[in-house]
Amino acid sequence: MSGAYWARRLLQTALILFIVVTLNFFLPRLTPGTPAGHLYNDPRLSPEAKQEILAQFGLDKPLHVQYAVYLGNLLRGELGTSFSYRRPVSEIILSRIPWTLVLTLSSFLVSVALGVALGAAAAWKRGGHLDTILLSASIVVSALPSFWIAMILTLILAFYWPVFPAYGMVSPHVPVGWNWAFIGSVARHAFLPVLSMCIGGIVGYGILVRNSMVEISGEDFVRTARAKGLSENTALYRHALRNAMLPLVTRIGMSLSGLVGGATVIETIFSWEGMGLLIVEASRSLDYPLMQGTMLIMAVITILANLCADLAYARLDPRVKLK
Amino acid sequence: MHDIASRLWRHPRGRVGIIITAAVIIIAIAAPWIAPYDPYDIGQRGPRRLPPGPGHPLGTDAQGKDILSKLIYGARVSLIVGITTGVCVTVLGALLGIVAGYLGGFADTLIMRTCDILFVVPGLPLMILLANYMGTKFYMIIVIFTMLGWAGVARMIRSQVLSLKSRDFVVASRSVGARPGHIMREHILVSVSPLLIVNGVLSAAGVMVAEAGLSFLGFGDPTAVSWGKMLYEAQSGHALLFGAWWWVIPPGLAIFITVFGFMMFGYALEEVLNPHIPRQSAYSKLRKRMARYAGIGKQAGIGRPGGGESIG
Repeated sequence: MSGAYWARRLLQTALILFIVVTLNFFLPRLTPGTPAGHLYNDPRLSPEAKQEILAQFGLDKPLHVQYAVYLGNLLRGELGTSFSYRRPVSEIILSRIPWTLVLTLSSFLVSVALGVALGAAAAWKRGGHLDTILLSASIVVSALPSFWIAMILTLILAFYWPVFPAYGMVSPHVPVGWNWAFIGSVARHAFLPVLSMCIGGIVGYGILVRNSMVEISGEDFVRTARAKGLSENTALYRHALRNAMLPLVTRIGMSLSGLVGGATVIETIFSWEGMGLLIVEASRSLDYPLMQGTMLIMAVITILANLCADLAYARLDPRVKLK
Repeated sequence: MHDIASRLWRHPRGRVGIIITAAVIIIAIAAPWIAPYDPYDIGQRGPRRLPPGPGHPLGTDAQGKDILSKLIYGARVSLIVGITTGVCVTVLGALLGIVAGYLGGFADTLIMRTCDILFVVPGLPLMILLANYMGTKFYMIIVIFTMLGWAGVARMIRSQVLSLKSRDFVVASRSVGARPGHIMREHILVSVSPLLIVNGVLSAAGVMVAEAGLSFLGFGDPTAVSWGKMLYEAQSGHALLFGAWWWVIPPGLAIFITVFGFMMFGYALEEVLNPHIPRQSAYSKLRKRMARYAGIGKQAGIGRPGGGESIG
């Protein structure tokens, strides 16, 4: 990994970031009707009041000035003020991120752990029962909408056999804070959303690890490991699985961005007030600053996560020559 | 052509795919004749949230609309959006992929960098954003899916073209003075067309799941009756709190069966159209297809659940 590669990769990342930021600014302005149109297009408003609203959101200045102001604000971490909440966008986003992380982190950890175990076991006995089940499950899961799985789970586990709440994040009357009642309540509410996300996740990671393992186990070094009398478990976990982890690293890098982006559909079903629901709400109420801010944060995290995944990959696999 | 059709029919997965796909298409076309009620008729109202029974085989929703009729008409939106987008994504992706791969240089850089950007921008939020700006008529949904989905096809085709470029028949054609346009059309396009057809079918499957997801979030065509929108209505009409299973289960099953049919059809088509692939074990073939499908899902803006961002 040469210095020149680093420099080029960072420059590329910076360029993509700049383009995304620019698109984020111009996209709403290119479309018919100004973003804030619904705020001042009320015929009862006097022209002066209209001007005032435009000035308040900085929309009365020429486009290039608005763009410069926007870039300047971004550099200072300013994402503007939400139309509907009348609060700074950055503040709203920061308050949502922990809630999203509760869902995404726990389902991510469970999915990776079970997925790797399942995938490795399936690949080791290729064509066995577990392998067949995993392969069929991967087809079924890719044809099933995840929100439908979530709805069916809710129907079973919250209606017919009401063990878990159907929606919400915490029971009312539970004081917010680091006490067991609160943590327990959040955990109970998080169970169904996390379970719905895990079904797809486990199969997804499982099939990835399985495929990678199948490829690896045909290679010479695995045969050598077995031939020199290592136990099956040592050959599987110390030799094959370690090398089969590489594609997993890339996938994990890509899903890191999803951790903050949240699971839009799942959060909507369970009224879980995280990042995913935020973008849906912002879109429904045509809250453009909030939409743009959320989009921008998600895009930036994706770009940075991709960069990290590439670098981690090169570090783990010396055969990858980065040019 | 006849040969391909008969081999598809003899292929077990191909037959399943053909039967399901044909059945759904027939249902969609014949909807006005087979549906017991017209879901677009505002006047049609029955008792609300009626469980399945005589008169309403699948019950009614919160507006008293017949669910079976909505289900039958819903096939139209899924198929139109899925198939049209599958075609558009494939055509646009092929065009840009071939141009990028064959011409190289500035065109290549421009197209591939655009792909890079499309890959890093979070798909679902961008879709919602675009749906907001451009409207949610179903043809706009098709435009949005196409805009976001072509990059994966273009990247795949470009890599194919790069290897085709140095093959003898292309070099020979170039050396006798054929123009780039001619070579791209007559040699390159013909060589990658089996790949494109398979990709189109699988993209259609992916798009149908994505469309259902977008409608489910309430960003679908407000005037259309679609499966995703039925689930949106079930969700916002608190079907889960009323235990109205007949309102929730059928639309999801309809999506599943249709998408499954398209996937089976696509997989079978791939085996039938690519007879030159050396024989592999059934499992490694299945694995390759799975890997490709996962990639196609991503192109259509549908990260699989493992990717955190899931729409379908």
